[in-house]
Amino acid sequence: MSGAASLPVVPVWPACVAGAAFAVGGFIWLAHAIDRHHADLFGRGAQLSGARVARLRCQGALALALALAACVLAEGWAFGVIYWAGLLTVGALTVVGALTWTPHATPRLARASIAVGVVASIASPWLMQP
Amino acid sequence: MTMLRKGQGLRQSMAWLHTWSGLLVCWVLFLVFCSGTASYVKDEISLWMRPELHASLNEKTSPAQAASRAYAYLQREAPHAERWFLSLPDARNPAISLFWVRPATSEDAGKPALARLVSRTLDPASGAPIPGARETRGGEFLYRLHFDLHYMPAVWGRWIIGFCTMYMLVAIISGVITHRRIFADFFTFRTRRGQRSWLDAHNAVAVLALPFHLMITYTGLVTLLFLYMPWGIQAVYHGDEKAFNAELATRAPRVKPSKESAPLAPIEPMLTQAVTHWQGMPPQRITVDQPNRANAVVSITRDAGRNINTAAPTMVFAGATGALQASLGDAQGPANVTRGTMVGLHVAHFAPPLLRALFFASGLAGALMVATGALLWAVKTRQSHARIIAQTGRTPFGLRLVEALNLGAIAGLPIAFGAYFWANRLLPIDLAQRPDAEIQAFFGAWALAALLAQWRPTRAMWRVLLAAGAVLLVGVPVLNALTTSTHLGVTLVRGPVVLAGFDLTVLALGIALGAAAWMLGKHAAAPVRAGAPRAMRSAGEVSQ
Amino acid sequence: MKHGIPASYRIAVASRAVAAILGGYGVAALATGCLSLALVRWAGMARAEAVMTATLLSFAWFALAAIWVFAADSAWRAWSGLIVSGAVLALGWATLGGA
Repeated sequence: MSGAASLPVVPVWPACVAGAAFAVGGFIWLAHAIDRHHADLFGRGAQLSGARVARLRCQGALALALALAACVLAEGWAFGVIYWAGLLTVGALTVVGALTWTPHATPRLARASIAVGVVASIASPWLMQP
Repeated sequence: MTMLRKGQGLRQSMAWLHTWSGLLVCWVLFLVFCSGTASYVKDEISLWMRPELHASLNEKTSPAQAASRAYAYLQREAPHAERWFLSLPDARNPAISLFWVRPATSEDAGKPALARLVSRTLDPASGAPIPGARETRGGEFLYRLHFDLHYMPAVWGRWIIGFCTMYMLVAIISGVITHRRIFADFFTFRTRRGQRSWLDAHNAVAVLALPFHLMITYTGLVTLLFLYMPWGIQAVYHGDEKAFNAELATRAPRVKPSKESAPLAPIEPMLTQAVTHWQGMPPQRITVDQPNRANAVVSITRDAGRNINTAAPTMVFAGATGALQASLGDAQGPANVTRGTMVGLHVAHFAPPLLRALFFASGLAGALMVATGALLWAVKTRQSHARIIAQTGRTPFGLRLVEALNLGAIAGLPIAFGAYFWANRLLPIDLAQRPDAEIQAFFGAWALAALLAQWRPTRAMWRVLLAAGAVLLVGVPVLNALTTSTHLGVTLVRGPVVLAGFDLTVLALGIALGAAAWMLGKHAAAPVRAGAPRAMRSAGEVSQ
Repeated sequence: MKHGIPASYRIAVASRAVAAILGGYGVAALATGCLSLALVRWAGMARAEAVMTATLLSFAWFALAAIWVFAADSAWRAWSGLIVSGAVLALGWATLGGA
C-alpha cells in the first residue's frame, strides 16, 4: 500500500517536544554567531572571533539535525520532514522573542532547551508503554 | 518610495516589484489566509457550530451501517436526483454529510447545476437528521470562502483568487531576492523603532515560515490546475478534457441518464468488496451517478489515511446490479502522484492533531505576514509624506485609501468571524434560511467595520475595532457556556477535546487582539521626551 | 498621489505590468503546451502524464517571466524577451503538434 508509514520508534508528542527543544537551542546558538546578537550579549563593539563563530554554527547545525532525527524517527521521512519544518518555524519565532526581550537569558535557555530535548528523546521509548 | 528606474540593479527592481505585487492584492490575500487557516480546522468548527451533534461524538457506527442508513434516507427523500454525494463519518467528523442534485424544474433555467444542490447532515446512529438540530454551513462556509469567495459565481471567485495568488508567488520570490541580509537579519526584531519594527515583524513572519509560504502559494494554484492552465490539454488532446480525464483514470466518467429505471442494488456488498480490495482501509466518500436508472454508477472512494496524496483509489460499480466496473487509482503515474501530493500538502487532510496545529500556526504567520506588509507600507508612506501632510493638512488619496482598507480588513475580519460564531449560538434554531442568516451576520459585521474604517481611518478607530473584535472573540466561549452544555467547564475536564480546543483558540485570539488594542493606547499616551526624535516619529506614524 | 511623475514613467510601468500579467501568462501557456508535446514525442511519456507534468510547472514559468519583466533594463527589453521566447515556443508547439 503506498504511503504506509514506517513503524514508529518514538511516539509523536515527545518527538515534537524534543524537536522543538532542539530547534530552540540550535537557533539560539546560530544567533549567537551573528554580530548583532553577539552584541546583545556582550555590548556593542565586542569582537566575535572566527573560532567562536565556527563552534556556535557547528553546535547549532547539530541541534537542528537532532530535531530532524527526532521527527523522522517518530513519523517516517515524509511526515517527519513536515513536522520538522513546522517545529523550526515555531522554534525560530520563539528565539526571536527571547533575543528581543531577554537576550541575556539566551545562553542558559539554549542549554536548558537542549537538555529538555535530550530527556524527551531518551524518555520517549519508555512512554510508549501503555 | 522607490521608483522603477533603468539600470538600478536587481535588488532595487525587486524591491519595487515586491511592494506593488504585494500591496495591490494584500486585502484579498489576508482573507484567503484567514479563511484558509480556519479551513484547517473546518470539521472542528462545524462540530462546534452543531451542538446537537455533540452527544453522538462518542458513538461508533461502522462505515457500512452509516452508508446503508444514508442510502435508505436518500431513497426516501431524493430517489430521482441526478447525483448523490455521501461523505461518511471519520475521526474528525462524526456525522454523515449528504448532498444531492435535485432534478431541474422550469425555474432553474439558466442557472448552474450547483444551484440545485441540496445538503443534509445525518446522525449515523439513526440515519436521519437530528430532530431540532440547527441548520448551519459551519466550517464549510469558511472553506468555500477561501477559494470561491461569496456573492458571486464560484468561477469568478476562483479566477480572482488565482490572480491574487499568482501575485503572491511573485511577491514571495521578489521579496527573497530583495532581502539583502536574509541570514544576518534572521533573528532581528527591533521594538519601538516605528517603521523598522514593522519591517522586522514582516521579515520574521515571512522568512521564518518561508517554506510553508512558498509551498502553500504554489500548491494553492495547483488545486485548480486545469482551470488556470488548460493549455497542456489543448496541445495534446486538442481540448478534449473528457479524453484526458479518462486517461488519468482516477475518477469514473459521468453518465447521461438512461430512459429505463432500475432500483439500486444494496450498498453493503459493494462496500465489502471495496474494503477487501483495499486491505481493510475504510471508505470515505460515495458518489451515485443517476440513482435508480438502469445505468446508475456507484463510485466508492477510499479514505486517504496517512497518505499525503489526496487522490485516493476509487472502486466503480454498476448501481443496479452491484457488479464491479473498474478499480481506479491503485497505481498512479508519478506526475499524478506529485499533483495529488501537492494538493494534499495544501489541504493537509492527512495531518494528525499536533501537525495540524503546526499548519494552523504557519497559516497565522502567513496572515500576519500580509498584515504587517500592508501596515509597513502605510507607515512608511505616511512618514515620507509627513512634511506635505503637515503643510497641507490633507492626506494623499492613495495613502488614506490604503490605511482605510488596512483597518477594514485586518481589524474587520476578526469581527466578522466573531459575528458568525455569535450568530450561530444566538439565532433561533428553526429560523428559515438559517445558514444564510449566519453568513449575512459575517458579512454584515464586516461591512459595518469597513464603513467605520473608511469614515475614520485613525488610531482611535484601530483601538475601537480591535477592541470590538477582542470582545466578540473572547465572548465566544462565554456565549458557548451560556447556551450549551458542552462548554469549557465540561470539555476541559471530560472532553470532547476538539470543542475545548476551539473555545481556547478563539479565546487566545481574542486576548491577542485585546492586547494589541491596549498596546496601541499605551504608545499614544507615551509622553514626548526631548532628545528622542525616534519616539516622536513612531508616535506620529499612524494617523491620529 | 504623487505629483510631478512624468507620463513616460507611468506608461513604462503600465507597459511592464501588461507584459508581466498578459505576456507572462501567454509565455507560460505556450511553454506548457510545447512542453507537453515535447514530453510525449521525445521522452515517450504517456499523454496524461506528460500533460500533468508540464502543467504542474506552468506557474514557475509565469513567475519567472514576471520577475524577468521587472528585472529587465527597460520595458522594451522586457517585451522583446517575452516575444522572442513566445515565438520560439509557439513554433515548437506548431511543429510538434502538427506532425
